[in-house]
Amino acid sequence: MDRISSLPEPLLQHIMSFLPFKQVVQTSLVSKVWRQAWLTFPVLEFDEHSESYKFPVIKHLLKRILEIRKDWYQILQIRHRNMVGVRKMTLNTGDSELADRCASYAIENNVKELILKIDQSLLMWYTLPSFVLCSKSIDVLQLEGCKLELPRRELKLSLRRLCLSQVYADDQVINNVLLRCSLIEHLELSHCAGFKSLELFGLAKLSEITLGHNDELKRLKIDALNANSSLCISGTVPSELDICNNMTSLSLAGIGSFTDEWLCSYISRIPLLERLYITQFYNIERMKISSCRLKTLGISICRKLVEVGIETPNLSTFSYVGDLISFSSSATLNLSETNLCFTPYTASFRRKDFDDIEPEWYEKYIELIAKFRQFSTVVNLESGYWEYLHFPGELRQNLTPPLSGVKHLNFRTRSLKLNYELAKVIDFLLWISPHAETIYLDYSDHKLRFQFWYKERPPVYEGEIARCCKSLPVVSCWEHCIKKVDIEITSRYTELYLATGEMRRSTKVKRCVVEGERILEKIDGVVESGVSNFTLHEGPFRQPETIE
Amino acid sequence: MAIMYALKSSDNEIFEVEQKVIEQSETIKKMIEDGAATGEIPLQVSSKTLAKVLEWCKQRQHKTVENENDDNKGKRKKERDEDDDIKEWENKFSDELKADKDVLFDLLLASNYLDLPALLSFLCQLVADMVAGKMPEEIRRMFNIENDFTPEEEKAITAEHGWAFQP
Repeated sequence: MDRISSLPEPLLQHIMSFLPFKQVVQTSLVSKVWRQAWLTFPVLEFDEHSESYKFPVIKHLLKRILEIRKDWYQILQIRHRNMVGVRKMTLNTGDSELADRCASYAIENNVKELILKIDQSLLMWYTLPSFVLCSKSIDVLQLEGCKLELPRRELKLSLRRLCLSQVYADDQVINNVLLRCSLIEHLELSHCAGFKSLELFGLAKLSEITLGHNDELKRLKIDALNANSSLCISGTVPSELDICNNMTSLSLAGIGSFTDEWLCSYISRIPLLERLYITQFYNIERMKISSCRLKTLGISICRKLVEVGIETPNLSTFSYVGDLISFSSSATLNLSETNLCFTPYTASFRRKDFDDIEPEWYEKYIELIAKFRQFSTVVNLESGYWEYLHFPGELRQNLTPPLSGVKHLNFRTRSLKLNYELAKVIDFLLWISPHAETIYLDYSDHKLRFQFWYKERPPVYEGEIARCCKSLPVVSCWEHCIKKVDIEITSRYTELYLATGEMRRSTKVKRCVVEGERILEKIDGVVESGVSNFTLHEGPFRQPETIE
Repeated sequence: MAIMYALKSSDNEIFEVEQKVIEQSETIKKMIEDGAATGEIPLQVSSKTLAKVLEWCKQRQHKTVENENDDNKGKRKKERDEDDDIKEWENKFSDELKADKDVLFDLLLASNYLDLPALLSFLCQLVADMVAGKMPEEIRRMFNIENDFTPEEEKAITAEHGWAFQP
């Protein structure tokens, strides 16, 4: 019996809404019921560039694009004639007439979401029809490659979300539009031009502001926002910056010209700040941050930074990416989580330089990790390149493992050649955190979870001490203490659907147990085959008996 | 002590359920609020389907309760484990449904009738995943759909949206 076609039409359309648009159109060939569902389908998604990659020859691509546009004009015409509405409309095109048609069809039908992306190759700005900015139905508006003009009627807008990218609007237009968006919650302006001054006030619901690379913006004034608002600025920061003091989250990125003092005094002027993220401040050498409410602090890739001093009694999460720094806190810290990713700068530029890293670097590295362990419940480690963790063996004897007593260790890395490096990483991590119960290893598309079961009494090697144990303290000689290892591999991978050419992400989980002699070699082999072709033998898996 | 409600399926089977579990259904929540729910709540859902609905609701309820009790300590790890557990449960749940499409569509209709948006979306996504990447002919075969187009009609539709039918 055909159950699916007897579903009420909105349910069938709900199912269709999870399909790529091209396949939605294809399903109109399934049966009359499906065709009817397509004819009134409330979402239109016209993207003439979605399949460009299939046409390497420009002549063929242009031919295809013209065909597509012809079809879309027809779809619009039919729907207009049959008085079929639309809830969400997406258009990505270089055809300004098609853009006009889509916009007017969408606005006439009280569209809720409108996304217009117009090719910049036109050499001229596409002027957005002024009625778009008078529509009271639009909830979400996203524009790219358009020029905005002053609308004739000054209506209040009901926009909740406005995203402008590569949009031209002068001071008067942009401020006029924003003034009328009293319900706006999310505002994003990136790579825009034309306006030098932006004033946001009286927007009581605005909670997320993202400004990126609006190079002409010189003056930013933000006042009277939602109590829980966040501001994110990247690229250039306006020289005149006047932010209301009830901002709770601030993210600054890629700003070159500001000094240590500027940052310090600026932060102290936002008393309610709870989250602060600082990225790519290349000029700053010393960072002093004092804020009594700050809970989350993230610092990454500030190339000249050598010293961080904080006075943040309520800090609970600290994340750092970059070279080693000296770190001090004038208040007693009680962090719940610290994420550390230390990479020597010389090594991050030229990977072959890994061998040149001085032993002092390693000593300082271990020292810093140990320091954070003192005032943080959880310390997660990360490494952009892991090669530099080829930790000189002799150092291990002189240094104390920095994360002793930690039961669950998280380690993230981007580059890892599993076939021969995994065992070294595990070896390193088990030195950092001896007798860890679980280690999570997170790298690109795979998440590995190792659960270690230790022998109740570590073996005593009388007379015939294994060679590895001679040079290492027994506690770190994990190969001889471990009874077995449960391994769980979660892999995200991409599947290609041939009919639509669409890529989809899926997840697979594999589990296995490794025990007996030469565990190290076995782990390497098992994980490598598990990750590469999912042919892993599935063994029993027990939940950890004790969870901290 | 949790407040219990008695739900009566269309084939007259009674299900005793906690209020918190069943209030996820907007339809039932409204019935309770309107005071229409004294004694047994009669539902137009078969006992087999209702059992499945409640299985879903209990799992969701379980999840929200656990989250509320969470403190900060070791939260990350706990969340990760929980996510994995839920995913595993959902995978099992969807595998059963995929194997028996009648149950799947009964459940889809029930989630619509009971106004359970999360379950409805989950099921629609599930059906869409089954359909994704399939040609119309394959979709027909999968769901026993009769092709009621004449060859001429088929040709006309293909011609109308030429781009969508090209590889």
